[in-house]
Amino acid sequence: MTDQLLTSKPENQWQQADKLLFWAVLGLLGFGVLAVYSASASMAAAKEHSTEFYVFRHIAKVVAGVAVIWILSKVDYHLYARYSKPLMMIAVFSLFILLVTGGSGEKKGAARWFEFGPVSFQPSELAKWTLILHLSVLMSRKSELMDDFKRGILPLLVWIGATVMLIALQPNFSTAAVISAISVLLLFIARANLKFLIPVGLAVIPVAAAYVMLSPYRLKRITMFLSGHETVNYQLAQAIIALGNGGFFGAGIGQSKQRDFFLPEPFNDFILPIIGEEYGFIGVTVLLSVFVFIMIRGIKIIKRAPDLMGMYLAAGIVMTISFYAFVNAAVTCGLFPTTGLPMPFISYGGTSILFTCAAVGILLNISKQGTEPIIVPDEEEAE
Amino acid sequence: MDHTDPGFPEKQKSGIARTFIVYAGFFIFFLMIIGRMFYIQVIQGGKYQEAARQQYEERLILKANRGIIYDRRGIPLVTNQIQYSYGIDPYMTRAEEAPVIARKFSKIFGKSYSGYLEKIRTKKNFVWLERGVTPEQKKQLSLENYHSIVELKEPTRLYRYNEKAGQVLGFTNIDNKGISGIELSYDSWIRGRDGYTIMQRDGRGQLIPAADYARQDPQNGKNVSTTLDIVIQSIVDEELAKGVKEAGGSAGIAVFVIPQTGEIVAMSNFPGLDPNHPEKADVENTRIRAITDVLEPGSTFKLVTAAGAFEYGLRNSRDKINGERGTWLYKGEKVIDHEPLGTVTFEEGVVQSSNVVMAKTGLLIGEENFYKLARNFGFGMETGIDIAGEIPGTLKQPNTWSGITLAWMAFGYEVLVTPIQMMNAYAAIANRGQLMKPFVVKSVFDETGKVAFENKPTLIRQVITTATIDTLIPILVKVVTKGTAKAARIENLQIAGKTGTAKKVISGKYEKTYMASFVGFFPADRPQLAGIVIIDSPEKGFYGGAVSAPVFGRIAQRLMSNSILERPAEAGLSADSLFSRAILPDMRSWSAAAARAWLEDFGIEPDFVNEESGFIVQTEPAAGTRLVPDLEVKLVTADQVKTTGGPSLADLKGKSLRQAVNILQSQGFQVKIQGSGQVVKAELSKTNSKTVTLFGRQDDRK
Repeated sequence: MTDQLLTSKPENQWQQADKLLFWAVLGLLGFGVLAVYSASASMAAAKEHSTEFYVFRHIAKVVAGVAVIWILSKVDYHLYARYSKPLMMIAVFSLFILLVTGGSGEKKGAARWFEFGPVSFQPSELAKWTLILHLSVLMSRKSELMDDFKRGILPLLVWIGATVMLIALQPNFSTAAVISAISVLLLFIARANLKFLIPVGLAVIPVAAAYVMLSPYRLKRITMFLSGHETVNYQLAQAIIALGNGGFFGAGIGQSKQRDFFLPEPFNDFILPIIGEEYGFIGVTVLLSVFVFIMIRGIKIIKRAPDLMGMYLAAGIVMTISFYAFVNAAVTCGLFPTTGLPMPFISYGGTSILFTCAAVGILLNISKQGTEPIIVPDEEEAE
Repeated sequence: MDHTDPGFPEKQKSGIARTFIVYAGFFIFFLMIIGRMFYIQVIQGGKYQEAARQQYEERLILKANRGIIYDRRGIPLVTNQIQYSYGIDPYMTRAEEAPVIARKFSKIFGKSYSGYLEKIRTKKNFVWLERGVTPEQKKQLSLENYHSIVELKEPTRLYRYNEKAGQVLGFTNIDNKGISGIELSYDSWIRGRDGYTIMQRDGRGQLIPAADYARQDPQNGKNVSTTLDIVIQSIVDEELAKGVKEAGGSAGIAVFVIPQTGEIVAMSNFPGLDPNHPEKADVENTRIRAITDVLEPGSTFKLVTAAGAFEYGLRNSRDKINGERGTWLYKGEKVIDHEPLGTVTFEEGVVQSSNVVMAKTGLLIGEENFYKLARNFGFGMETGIDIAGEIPGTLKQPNTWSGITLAWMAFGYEVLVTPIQMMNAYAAIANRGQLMKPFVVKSVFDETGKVAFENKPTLIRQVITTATIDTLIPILVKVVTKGTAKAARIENLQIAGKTGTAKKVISGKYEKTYMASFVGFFPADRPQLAGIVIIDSPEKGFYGGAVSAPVFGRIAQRLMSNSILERPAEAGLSADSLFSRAILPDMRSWSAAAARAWLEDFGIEPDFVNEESGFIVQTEPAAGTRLVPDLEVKLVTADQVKTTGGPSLADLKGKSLRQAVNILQSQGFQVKIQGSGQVVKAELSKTNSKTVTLFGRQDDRK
């Protein structure tokens, strides 16, 4: 049942991978190294007596990430269809274990990751990408059943629900919300009937509301944001000062003042304000435009994807990357309430950079197998 | 391509269409973010740039030091010191801290413990505990650990001789700006110009030196060399105070000048003023009364009449004049002498201070000549002394005179003079008839000794001929030897002078009380000093001869018998005696403690502009400056030597010795090691800021 749905060309017949996409990602990773260095040097000097402490660790991850891109771009993405279900089960199980054991990393009272010696592992990252993979596989298989709630939509919702709920209970509201949003968008692209999708979306609202109400700190955050008093949040206030201090052209490379213990987490989730301070409005615009560029390359890959799984997977990957980037940007400029989402490829991060690079590798492989869109039957490539 | 799904093109088509819908949403999101960024970064950028600057920039004012004021021999009279003011925030004070703090203050300042405790427990946000605290007292207080204590550091003037010449030196206000005396008159020289340095601060509040920021070094004020002689001033102060007390007077004025140059060597006012605490003084006592008070001089003014008689060839010392037995009716008004005289020589009339003789002589001189001579002696106009506040007195124009004005002016009435004018007129006699402009500041010079401004002796005019002087001086000597000023007589010294009983004039009205004065110079044959002594409202005899003359005599005696005037002149202010050869080293990167220790060895109390902790990043003056006594050294510290480097010694604790050595050597430190194992203590050498000693945990196996 599985293999017949999946098509693939022998590797030697693959085209060139989408080079522009690859260079865009490589550019982001390189720029990220520069940004992390500048943003982390002060804290590294103070805490570790070496200005390069964090950037060296970051570079190691970037190098590993590039290797992962290169390797996975060579692996036929259809291979994952076979393992998506066990992977999904492992992901959900690890989320469950994390919830039960409390994990090993505490961040603002929430258990979010495991630590194995020097390696830390964030189950929600695995779950996020596995869910996109598994949904893509399921949706391509059930492509005829997208109008059938029970047989088509419900199994998808079960996986989505399980993943999102376990993440929400960590509690990690923002990741849960973003994964929900991406999943729903993926269902939408996979032609899920809107008469199911809209009620599902509406049903989420009271659940989410109850979830928010149950936690005073989340409620406070949301109400503060809605009442426009978000700036009382010290971190955001400092982020906005950093952005404003950059002005149009920026203060110059390495000239950030806000990184010096004014802005908390200047090289993690709030690296964009430091970039905005050093490179100005121009820098922020160019950076975010690169993610738009990735979306443009993405639509090309989606159009040329040889099958539905490739198409959904590409759409899921591209949406996740750009959505993370935009939500992260929106948070740092106060458009969204403060969440803990990293800027893809840029933020100093543990697991996230490797997982995102893996996703890019998969995306590149999809691009390698791409054909001309089959919308015009004449152009269909002959065997 | 093998599509097993026949519906693929259709599904692909609608999937792509839906992807575009999602993309549209994403793109709107993207545009909103860009719009928001544009608003923050471009439209509101200026506002946030200012907010950022306020967070990371700290402007430290580098206060310029006021110039030092020296006496004529190079003895510093006024220097600078740092004072501290302590306040407390009672709400921030923990209950158990209050008694400790109160006890500390009570111990150091000798005030009641309960008084301080009451202040600390006031229900206010802020209470002053003590102001004007000296660095030594600050050290004894040791209040570093109390967060509710507010410490303010203020540069203040130190008037080293307290009340000596207090009014002349003047004082400064709370902003250290001169508001009276020399401090006011020479403020533009003494003040200097404050500088600033901008430090960068990080989010933890630590200061980082910012090399690329603008900074302005302070320009210290110029030093002032006065004409005052602190030894003479002290003697004059003492004798004046004694004289006032003995006579039961309310106040006293005394001024002494070098007649040949116009240099004022002493200017005393009793009661005195301690410029260290001007707030404690009566406002009355802050005036320099020698230049601000006017009085109707009485007999001392007879100098003009006597000089005129000789100058115009109208009288001879031996001319006989009828003293009218003490009462002479002129134009219906009685001229009265307190010692009735018959017919006497003119000289006798002056020596006995006869009003009748003087009135008759004045009339002989005539209005125009008398007025002209009085003007020439400097009456009715400022002497031009270089301190603010001098008033001209009143010498009316002859055309406004009444019929008796001339006769009365001839013995010192109907004219208003200041003590300095009177002294200066007698100084002109001592100076062979040459009237000099009096002054108190000789020169203004910078830290290197370069003179920026100088007052040279200035001849105002030759008032009378030397022939007149030669006639006049023996008469003035006789006033002391056998006339009204016999009380000023001292052995082996000829004093020339004249007594007077002046009426006080306040706001144009005569007071009922009198001022007893003596004005003169000595030695009569070779005058070295001229001076005036006035005692206000003496109760025990108000005649100048009885009250002021002895004070003048005692001052002259003390000065001459101890050869004070014969001390080698200009002993001070030479480069060798004032400036030593040591220079200020480059203290950057020294620890605050090391810098303090070094400076204290030279008797210099360092002025820490911000915190006395961390490392020195800037000194003011710069390295290489020659050390002088009382040099003000300002030190700017930062918590780190530079942004990326600078091990905090505390951070080395717990590291292995090898790690610690590596860290330190990479920072260019010399490392000495004691013990082994983990670092338990790291110490910066007090003598060499580049040497650190590491103490390791002892090896347990031994």
